[in-house]
Amino acid sequence: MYLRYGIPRAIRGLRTNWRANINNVLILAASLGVLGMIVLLYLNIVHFSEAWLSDTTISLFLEPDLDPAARRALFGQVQHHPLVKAAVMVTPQDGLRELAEKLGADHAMLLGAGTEGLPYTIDVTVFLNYRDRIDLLANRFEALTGVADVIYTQRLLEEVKLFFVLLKGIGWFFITLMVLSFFLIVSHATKLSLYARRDEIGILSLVGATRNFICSSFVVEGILIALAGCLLAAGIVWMCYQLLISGFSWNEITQAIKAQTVFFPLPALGAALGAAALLGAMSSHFAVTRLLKELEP
Amino acid sequence: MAINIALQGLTKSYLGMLPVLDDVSFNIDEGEFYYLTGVSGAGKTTVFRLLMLMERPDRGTILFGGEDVTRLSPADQALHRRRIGMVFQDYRLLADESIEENVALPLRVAGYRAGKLRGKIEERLEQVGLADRRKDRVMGLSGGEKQLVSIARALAFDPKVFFADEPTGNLDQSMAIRVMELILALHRGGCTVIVATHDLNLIRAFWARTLLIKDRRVHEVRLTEHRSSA
Repeated sequence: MYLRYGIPRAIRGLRTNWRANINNVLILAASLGVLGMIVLLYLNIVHFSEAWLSDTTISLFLEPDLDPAARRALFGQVQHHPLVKAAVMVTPQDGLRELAEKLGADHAMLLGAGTEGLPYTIDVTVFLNYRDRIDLLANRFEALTGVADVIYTQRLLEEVKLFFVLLKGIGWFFITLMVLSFFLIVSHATKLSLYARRDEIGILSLVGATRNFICSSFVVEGILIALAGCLLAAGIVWMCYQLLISGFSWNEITQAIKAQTVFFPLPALGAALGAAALLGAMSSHFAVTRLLKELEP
Repeated sequence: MAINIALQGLTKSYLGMLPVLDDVSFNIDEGEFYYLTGVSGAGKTTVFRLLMLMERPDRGTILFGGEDVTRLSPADQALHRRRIGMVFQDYRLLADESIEENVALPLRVAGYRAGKLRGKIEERLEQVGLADRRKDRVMGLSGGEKQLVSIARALAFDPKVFFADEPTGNLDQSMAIRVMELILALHRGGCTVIVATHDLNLIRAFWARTLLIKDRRVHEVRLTEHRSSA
């Protein structure tokens, strides 16, 4: 009943104030675009960290002065540990070559670098089922004679944990800020529409329209503005994402990063549109009911 | 079924100034036709605004069918207005909508379904002689035509009470007669009618009982009858 009146009137209202409404949609799209980029960045960092956390390798850096017999004995000890799936001894020369391969076109930066000072490394892969015990295993390997240092991804992530907490905080701060500005922009757009159509509100009251009936067309208008702003913002974020990842092609490392990057999945985009529509409805409803209360005798 | 209207000890002032209406009381029985007259600014429109609950009185009560409507909730105020058909001097129409859509407005508000709604619109537009122009935009109509649309809208759901504020104020004589005949036909159907006008010739031509607002009070007066149509 409400929508048979609300939808055509909302479309007519949007057409009448098209300049102001386009401005509002653009402002909304810009705000949501900034929010979208921040959320997308956060999503990718979380995605990367999850990928790293599922990594089951440990690198054991050996003492530089370890003789070959002791290295072999140590390798055997590590290789036969029941939690170890595979172990590979990496010589300094192999290590340097692998790094050059990973750097691809940028390998020139390694020109002139010798293997002097580079340690022998044992790369260990743990059985997937024992991933949770990687920390204990790494400590045990670190205690072995001849092992200088142990590096594994989870330990690296521990060290940047504070960074993640900070990032999450900043992310939520921006989300709150953007939700607030979204609310204000849509209610401002509704207020403009209310003033442009105040005669209509008076007429509706006189013919016995309830507050909800009067709200209907303004709420539809708010939803349409919110959806338009959200769709435009999604387009802007997608374009920025494509532009950014097209630049990640210099070497093997950047290409690996590119392969790991993610865009918002479709259900998340659908949920964002739904949330925008809901927020649009709420903010326009808030603006109309406030004005109607003011108009009441 | 018509409704009787009673104002008891009604006082209304704006912004703490001298009251526009001071201790006004009158009673209009169901199915009666009354004129409300007085000089410009006497308070005729204020009476309608109070009856339509667009203003709250400072003191006093407004009874519709014995019920005090001054204390209704916003939702009940909306239902109260649906019993009333109201016509304004400035028409109060949606200028960018068609004649048909304007007449449909109170019916949409009242939740009429498409089939019944079309039937009602047809009936009302036939009544005011605008059936063949239903798709025309209101903004292109003459003053008289706008007033006919306004009357069709006011009659849309068979009001029990009908108010008209200077309904012939902007019209030429032939259109004024047409509008008054429509209002009188409505009255003959049993509706309680109040028409505000400062045009004494109109009252004499279409004679009915008359309330005069003078010195912030309402008095019933007798004007010489030229022709009785009511």
